[in-house]
Parts: sequence; structure tokens; C-alpha cells
Amino acid sequence: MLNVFCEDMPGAIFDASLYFNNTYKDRWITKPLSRDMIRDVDKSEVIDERAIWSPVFGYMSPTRLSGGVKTLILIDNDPSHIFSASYCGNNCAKWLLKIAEKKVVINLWHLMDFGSDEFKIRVLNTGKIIRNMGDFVFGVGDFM
Amino acid sequence: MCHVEVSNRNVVYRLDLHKRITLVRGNSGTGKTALYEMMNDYTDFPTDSGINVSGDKPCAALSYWYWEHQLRRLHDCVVFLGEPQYYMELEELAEAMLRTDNYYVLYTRENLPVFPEDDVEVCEMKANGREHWLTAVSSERK
Repeated sequence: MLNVFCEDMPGAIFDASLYFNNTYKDRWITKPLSRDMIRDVDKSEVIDERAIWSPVFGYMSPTRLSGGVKTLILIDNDPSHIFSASYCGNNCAKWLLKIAEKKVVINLWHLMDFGSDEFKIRVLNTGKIIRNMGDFVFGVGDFM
Repeated sequence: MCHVEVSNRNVVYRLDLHKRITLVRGNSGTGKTALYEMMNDYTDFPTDSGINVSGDKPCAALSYWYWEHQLRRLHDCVVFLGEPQYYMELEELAEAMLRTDNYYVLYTRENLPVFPEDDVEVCEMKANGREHWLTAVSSERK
């Protein structure tokens, strides 16, 4: 389940893009889920661990992925840290829910749109489990 | 209004800034970070970076550690602030920004009530191939 904490969280990594550049593992890039997220969000194709084909930049290093995709890959692969999803646009929301088929905790500072389908998110500030976007707005609005 | 263009061999950004504070949001993968990184390189090495910047005002990126020093020297410029939003919490930075005559482009998904509503426009970055531009989405902060 996706667990979100919506206030300042000491120890959480806010600049996930920078953290990714200096810590990512080659094997993370070629995982099927990473390939799918990179294709969907950045419209780019993973060639191998060190090369990605972008329609804008041509062949590029994984360090040139968008901040949103870097954050998703970190959340999926580095459970030892909690990451802020501030780099993540609404087009990352479905992937956060996908990654959260296992237990995931993120720090969230903005009202992300998780779409119109039902979902399951625990707001750690209150302990409540939320199942739709309307309740999510109501449940976290005071913390944003 | 203020118009600026930033380009290199891969991308071109044509930005129309209608208010002093432009909050840039939108989907991931639209080139927000790439623009900030280009402006950062250009600020450090205007010629050596090879980045082309043109428009109504000079442009610069604000660094996290030296913003106070930078803001004392930047007048009538377009100033870009990066995505690590934690420094947007610094009220003193916001107050210093409002004391200047610069335009500011901020990447943040947070609400920043410290800025007067009339000074703020919320935009999304749009991209089509190498072309990038801003589209106003709402006058609302949320």
C-alpha cells in the first residue's frame, strides 16, 4: 500500500533527482517496471544500463531522465530511504500506485491527482486509509 | 510581459512571463529540470556553456547556497529557481525576491501564499519535440 506523509519529514530525501544521479544502480534501469515508467513518462526507450534513447536528447545517460522518473525508480528500488515525490507530476501517480503493490512510504508536499479510479492510500499524518480522490483532497488538504 | 528564449543543440524554450512570479508545474518529463540545469550552466559560464539566451531581460539561475549574495546583484532580470522546493520555505528568500524588480520562474508544486496573488501566474511546461513553452493553467494556487 502507498503510505504518504504530508508534512516536513526529517531524513526524507527531497532532491531525489540529485540523489539518483549519484546512487542509482545499473540494474535498476533495465528492470521491466523501470522500462515501462521511462517509456510512459519520458517517452524514452531503455537501450541498456547506460543508454536511453530520448526523442529530444537522442542517446542519453540515465542521469538525464526526468526528476519524476528518477523519483519513481528510487522509490521502487531503494526501500532504505524515504523520498519526496515533489518532482513527480500527475503522470507519475499511476506508477506510484503500481510500485505500492508492495509497501511504500513517500513524503508528499503537493496535492497529487491519483485519478478517478479507486485506490488505497494511508495518510500517515492521521492514520486514515483513503480510497478515492475526493476523500484524498479532504484528508490531506489541511497539511498542504 | 517579458519574453525570453533559451536554447542549445537539443531544445529551445520560448517563455512568455506575464507576471513577476511564474510557478511552473505540470507533468514529469516535460523539460522543467533540463531548463533549470541549462540556466545554471549559463549563469556559471555564459559563453563557455554554449547556451543561447535572448529576450527582454538578462537571465540567471539562483543557487541554493548563495541566493542572498546573488539577489543583491540581480536587477531587472529573469531569475530561475530550481526544483528542490525546500528552500522555497525560506520566508526571507521570498521577502528578498519581492523587494527586487526581477521576474522569477519557480518550479514548485506547492502553494506559496507568501507571494501576493496579483504577482503570480501558474503555468505548465508544454513540449513538442525540441520546442518548449509555458501555458497558463489557472490563477488559483491549488
